[in-house]
Amino acid sequence: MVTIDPAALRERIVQTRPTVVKDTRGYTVFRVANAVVLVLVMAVMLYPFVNIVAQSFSREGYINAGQVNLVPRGFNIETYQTVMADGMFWTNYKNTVLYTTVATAIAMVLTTTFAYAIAKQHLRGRTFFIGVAVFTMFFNGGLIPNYVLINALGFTNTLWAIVLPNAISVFNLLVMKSFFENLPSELEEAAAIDGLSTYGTLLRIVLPLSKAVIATMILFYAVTFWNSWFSAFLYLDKAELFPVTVYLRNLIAGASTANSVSGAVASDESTMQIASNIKSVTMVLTVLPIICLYPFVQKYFVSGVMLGAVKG
Amino acid sequence: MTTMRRRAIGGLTAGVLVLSLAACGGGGDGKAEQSPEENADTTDLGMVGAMADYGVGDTFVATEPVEFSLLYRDHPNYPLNEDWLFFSSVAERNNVTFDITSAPLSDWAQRRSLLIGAGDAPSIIPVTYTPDEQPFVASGAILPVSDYLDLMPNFTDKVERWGLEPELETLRQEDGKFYLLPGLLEQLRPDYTLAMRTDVLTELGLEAPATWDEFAETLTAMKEAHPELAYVYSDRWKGDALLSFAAPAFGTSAGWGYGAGLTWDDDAGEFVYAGATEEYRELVGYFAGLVKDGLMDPESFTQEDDQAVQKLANSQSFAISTNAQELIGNRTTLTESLGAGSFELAKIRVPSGPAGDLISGSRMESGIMISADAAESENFVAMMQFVDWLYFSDEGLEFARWGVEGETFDRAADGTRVLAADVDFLGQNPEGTKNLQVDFGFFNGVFMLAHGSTNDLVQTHISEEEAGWRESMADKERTEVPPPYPFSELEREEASLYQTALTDYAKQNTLAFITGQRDLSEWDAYVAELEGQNLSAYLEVVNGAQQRYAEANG
Amino acid sequence: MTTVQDPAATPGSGSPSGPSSAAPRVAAAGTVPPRSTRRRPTWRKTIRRDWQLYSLLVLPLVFLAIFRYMPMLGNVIAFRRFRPGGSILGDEWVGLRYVQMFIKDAKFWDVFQNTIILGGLGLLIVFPLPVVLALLLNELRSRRFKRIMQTVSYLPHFMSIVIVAGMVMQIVSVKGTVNQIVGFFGGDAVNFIQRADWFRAIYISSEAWQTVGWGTILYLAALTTIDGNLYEASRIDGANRWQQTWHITLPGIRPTMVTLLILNVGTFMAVGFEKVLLLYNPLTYPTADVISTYLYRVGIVSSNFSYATAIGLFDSLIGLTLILSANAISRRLVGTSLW
Repeated sequence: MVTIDPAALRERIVQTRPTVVKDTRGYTVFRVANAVVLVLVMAVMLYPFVNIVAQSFSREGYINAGQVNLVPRGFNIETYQTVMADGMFWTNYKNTVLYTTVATAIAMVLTTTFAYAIAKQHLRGRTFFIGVAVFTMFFNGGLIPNYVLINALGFTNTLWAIVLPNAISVFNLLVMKSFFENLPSELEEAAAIDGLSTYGTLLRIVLPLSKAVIATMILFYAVTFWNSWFSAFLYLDKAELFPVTVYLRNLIAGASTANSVSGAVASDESTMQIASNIKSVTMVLTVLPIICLYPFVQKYFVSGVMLGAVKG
Repeated sequence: MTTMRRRAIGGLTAGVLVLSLAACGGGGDGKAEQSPEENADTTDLGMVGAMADYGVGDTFVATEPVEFSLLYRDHPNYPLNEDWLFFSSVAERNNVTFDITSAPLSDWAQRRSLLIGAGDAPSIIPVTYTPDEQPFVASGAILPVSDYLDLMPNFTDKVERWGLEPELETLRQEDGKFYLLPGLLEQLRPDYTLAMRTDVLTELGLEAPATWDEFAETLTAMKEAHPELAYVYSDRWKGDALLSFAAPAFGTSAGWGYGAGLTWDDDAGEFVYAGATEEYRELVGYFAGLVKDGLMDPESFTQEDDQAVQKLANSQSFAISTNAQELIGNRTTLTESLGAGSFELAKIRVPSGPAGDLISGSRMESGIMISADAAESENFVAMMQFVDWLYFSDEGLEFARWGVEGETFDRAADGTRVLAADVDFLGQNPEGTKNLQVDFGFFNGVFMLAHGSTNDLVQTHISEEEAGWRESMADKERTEVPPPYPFSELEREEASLYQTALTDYAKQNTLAFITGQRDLSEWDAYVAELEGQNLSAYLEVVNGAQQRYAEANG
Repeated sequence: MTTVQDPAATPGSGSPSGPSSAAPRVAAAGTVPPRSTRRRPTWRKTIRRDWQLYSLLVLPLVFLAIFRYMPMLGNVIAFRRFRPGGSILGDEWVGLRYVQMFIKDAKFWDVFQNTIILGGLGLLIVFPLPVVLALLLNELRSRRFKRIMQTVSYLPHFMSIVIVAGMVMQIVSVKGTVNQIVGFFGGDAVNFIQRADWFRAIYISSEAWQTVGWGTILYLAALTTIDGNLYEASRIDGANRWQQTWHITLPGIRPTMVTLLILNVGTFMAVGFEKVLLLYNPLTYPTADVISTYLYRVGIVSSNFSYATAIGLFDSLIGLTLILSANAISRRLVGTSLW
């Protein structure tokens, strides 16, 4: 039985890494330049985000005058309060969490099993199955057939309309397949010799070794589902079932004034002042949880556990 | 390819073909033929719940409780609340309840289109502007309401009293019927115009310009007084609002008002392409001049609204396009950036131009579509009567806009309406804790058409200043309503491609000429290029349709 | 002097080598001779042997059949007249009418060209950037700095397109940052957003900014699977960092790169609709208008689903052809392929 202890492994790597060998001068220069370049890149990435966060806390006048940069001016949390005071906001937020979790779980199960099976070179009909999946990457039915299908299945206004239709992303599927194919076959041979069935091999050997790619896929799927509003727009028509993305989209639409192609269709019935920082508040509220998710996922990226398994 | 695989693929293909053939054989039955008479045979329509004797001035009360399915547009400013006084009042007084399918404002048009396209639409579909109903005509998915006007006394009454027949004509489709019940306005309700820094005007000893030439002079004066500024006028809405309310004064249409790009030439008795006319050239030339002289910011036509407002707030621009709602917002912004009392921002009367003191616009606003299969329902007549009462009767309009007398508003001795003590709306009753829209469901775009339609109702809730402005606009001459040119299905397909290409090209060059990217001397070359974009073919289709309709309908 | 051995040539060394068909894998369950030389066992035997694998396939296949293939029937409206509100599969056959419609539409070919150019530029410029960034990040010694950098680089991916577009327009406005820099160097301000010739640059830059960080995820994950001992061995052999990168790191992530490249080639026509819609204006139609935005405008006038579907099928066909070719070429040239 092959056991892997990542911690011990890491220890060995660290121990064997030579810390005494000096780098060449050229390399040191490069490292300094690299750090500088990366810091610049980081600044360029970070600045707009900080700007948006600052705007979300600023007073309207300053925003409209274009005077908000990195620091909030006229600090206030009014727009946040307005948005968060609405019970529907929290209902929708809970919906998003629920949809994302269930959708990601379903997607992972389907994608992983499919990817593992078609990663096996000896599987008969393998090319056909891959073709079946790839074909769907390019051809789809369009709005109305999808709507009619979901309707016919009775899924409108239920959780299933959100979590099922996009459960397999062929992109993710193919990436996973690549990773599975790159696992050395000795592992599976060893498992077979030990008498493990395919299921056992998958669960006990392959999955623990694939933490990096699984973590990546979970992140990809979770982010996609979290940000999705299109399925909700298509299949849901009760406000209490919406995910928070639809809620916020609606909020922004209500805040923007007439801008239509076919005529001056102003949102004229209501003249309630909607905060001009509604867009930035919206963005911060949507993005925050996902950004918090990443650190949890990140630790799985560091365990490069290929080598120990075969030798040990 | 192995035999196995080949067989599998063959089987799959065959299966798909069979399925699709079966499906298209089964479905796709044309809807029942529309009867050619003016009014449909009403004898076998569902009369359950309908009033036997319903006319103008009657309050609709269903003879038994009825429920109508409704597509509701959820506006985030007043989220749908099933406990609204509106709903309970309608249930009580009119014996009507709704089965609501809700769609958020942000994706309203798509959702509506999807539901109708999938055959799943509710009976009543409000908040529809023409020409949005046109794609659904051919399939018979929506009702040709013109066939059922005898069920709608208030609607016909208002059309007659306010002389709206010519405008209603423009809604007619190829079969001579119209498919949309538009919101009606007694009087044209203009809203868009320029807002100017009137304090700067006073400082310079100037008055608000009455013509576009005067406007240019005013800007020049402002520029002389502020030589440090690159421009004195930066606009928003990508210049589309500006062009749309300026164009009539030049005898053409542009911006938001460009539409299909057709101008009706009465003398020639045919449509010409707006983007190629001399009047349009004058309009473009005027604004190109403003930009060239450094008076108007060329970025007006591409920048985001926020940027334009910023420039206004920083006193880098002294005029901007506005409507009543935005004016209030801009004033708040200016207060924050310049300080209260140090500025004055007000609407000016839209200047007149070379073609005269003209205004264009429609007295029809967002309206209602009815699903075709509602005609099969047993409550059909009741539904039509209710729609007529709520949306077109004076009583219904007042109800939708003001609410219930004694609860949300009171009537003063002289007949004016006043909000109830506890109810606030538009800041007119600051002590009120509840909001007319949010808490009671009135003044709701789904249930109230055209702000109340009648002058009496439309004029309420607006500030004195706004009322004064509207009055000043009231003496403008209205441009004529063009004749209808309803397309057949095939024509519409053809025309849509031409129209898109021509409109794109016209808009592109309009901006190019105005911003100076293209010199005005190339105008004739541009017109020739338009010709190359199927201009004649487009006009042929349009004029052909117009003549056909005119001959068939006198 | 020994050269560093290319790890890709040594099978089963723990570093990811592509699933090249040149080295047939030995099946886990016993000794089955290479496919080409044995008589193919019957289906019954295959299923009996691999039934567990096939069982894993059942659910996903059912999913695909129901949620992907069934709606595909709807594409038939490209060849039938579809009326919104009539039958969803169209009301009558019109054959190639809509196909001819878009073939004859000169405007369509203009936007088709724009789509190709934008997609191609994206592939050329935006695709390699995450690789470069991943490699640069990999050179960081401090693990904490690396983590912070990674998280920060993901942020742009999460920004909503509406906000990004607003920001881009601010930055390239006449008084915006870019023009300020131009002015600093003595140039004249350019109204970038109104110039058709600048649109592509603006679009590609904003795409790069938004996607480069997120794109590094897969590469960084791939980098963690490279055997550290290889670096040791090469160091002992006297290789410097650059040689290590060239001979170990790059081949190590090559399968990932190739996979992603093939996938991107297949989908390069899917130029982002929303971003173009928010950034373009009539002045930039000549370069900015892509198929999806053109259809959007046409659709507003006519709601012609059939036309849109016909174009969609054309698009899809191109994409499918591209990915098949890319895959075949890749298999021949590099030995790595998607399948």
